Amino acid sequence: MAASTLTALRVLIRLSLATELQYRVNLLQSLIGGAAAQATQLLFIGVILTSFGAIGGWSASEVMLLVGLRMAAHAIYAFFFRRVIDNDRVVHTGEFDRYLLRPVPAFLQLLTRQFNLQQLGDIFIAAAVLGVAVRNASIDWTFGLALFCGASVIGGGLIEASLQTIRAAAAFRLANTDALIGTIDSLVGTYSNFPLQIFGGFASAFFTFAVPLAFIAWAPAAILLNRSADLGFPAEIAWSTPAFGPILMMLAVTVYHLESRHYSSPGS
Amino acid sequence: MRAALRGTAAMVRLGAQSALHFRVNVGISVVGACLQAVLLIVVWRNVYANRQTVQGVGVDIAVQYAILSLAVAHLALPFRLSSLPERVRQGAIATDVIRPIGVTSQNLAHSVGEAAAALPGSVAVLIVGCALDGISAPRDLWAAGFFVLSVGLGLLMAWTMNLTVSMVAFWTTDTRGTFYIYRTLATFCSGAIVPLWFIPEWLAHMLNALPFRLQIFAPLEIWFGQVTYDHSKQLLIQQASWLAVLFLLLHLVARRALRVVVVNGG
Repeated sequence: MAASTLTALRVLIRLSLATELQYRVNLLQSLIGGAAAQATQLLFIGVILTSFGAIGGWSASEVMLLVGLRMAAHAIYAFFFRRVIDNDRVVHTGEFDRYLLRPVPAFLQLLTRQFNLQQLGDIFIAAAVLGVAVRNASIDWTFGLALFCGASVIGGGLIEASLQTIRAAAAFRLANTDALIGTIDSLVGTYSNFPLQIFGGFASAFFTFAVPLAFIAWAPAAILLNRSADLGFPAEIAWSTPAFGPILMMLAVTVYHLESRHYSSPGS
Repeated sequence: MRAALRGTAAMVRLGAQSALHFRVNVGISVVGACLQAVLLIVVWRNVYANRQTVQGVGVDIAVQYAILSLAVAHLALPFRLSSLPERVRQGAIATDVIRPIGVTSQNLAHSVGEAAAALPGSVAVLIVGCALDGISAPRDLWAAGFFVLSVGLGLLMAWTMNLTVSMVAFWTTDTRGTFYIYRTLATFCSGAIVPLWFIPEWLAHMLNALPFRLQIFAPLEIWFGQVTYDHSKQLLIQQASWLAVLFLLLHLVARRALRVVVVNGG
């Protein structure tokens, strides 16, 4: 990345941060809102675990580790990439015209159009859940495993970001992708919290190879808990989880830039 | 009066047309709802595993609840709660204010229209539920009739609350925080994601004091015949009373909101 691009990026981040800090009450409300959005899925899984105790042969503490990893990955996505959901508006209002004039890649401008300070709420709640879950799960920690855990969280966040980026790219042709945002949010937010073997062979394969939900939290959790036999694919693939996120994200950004060629300005 | 009705009907049509204009989006919404229905059925059947009942609720009832609540929530809690915040942000609220029918009536009618456009998604969920043996008939015709009435009242309550919360857009241009908090409360407390039978008793008492459970959980209690004929009638009266309170609240909030309206770009 050229030095001028980095300078422009720094300016954009500083501007968006200043905008967020200007309205303190709104910021506080947003922080609580960010945490509340995560809490919905936590409540769902919490009530099920309280009533049923175990899911798909995984104990409550094992499922909570899976949930903690999923929430942490989501927090990474939400803090760094959440603004991709704004692409519909950016296209409708012609804001994208400005992106084409500035000397910074359009995708970076989309990400920095607003600083995601409110997503700190996501981070706090995810850190708390993951912290408790790690303490309660029986894991034989090694340095390598701890490194894998951290890298998997980042990789999981990038996988979710790549799904939403490809969705954002679709906005250049479809104009309205609200339903896709909701579907991806719901798939990742609700169903990634379950050990995916419960969905059976076909659906597990679908969530592994077509929509890679398996690598957001299930595969890393299975490795940490020494339950790779539940995965239905070789453990080596699960160990490669941290690499999938960056690869998918690079592909998604390429798709975004290719699809942006179909942008037609509303004439702003 | 007739002119007001004609105007309201036109707003309902407009709401439906603006949603149906994006056909691919409607199609994706239908596919997404069907996918969720399938996944919910699988999840509930698997969490039950070999158990017959949990807290007095059998697996068939839990699966059926999940499908019906998804179908109702698809209409009651759309991804975008109301078009109002966007109209305030873009300054289109100026047009709303000068129309011959009130801003609240227009926006409620618009929400009804948008829900009509979302109806294919709900119907598809019910079809998927039937195809996977997830739905059985209600106890009797009375239960079916009361259920339909109760769903109607529940939806009106949800749309009224959605619009009241959307009014926050008159005070702040960033409505995300408020929306997330409200959506979390509404989704959980209405029983949209998990049946309230599984909620701890102390929490259930708190939820009984709020209007949310009357939006989705109460109609489904009637469907499953878990309440008596008289109790069903009481639930309908409770819904109608809450609806009156929520309408009043909406009008109070709207009156204050319209005093601080800022027409962006006007």
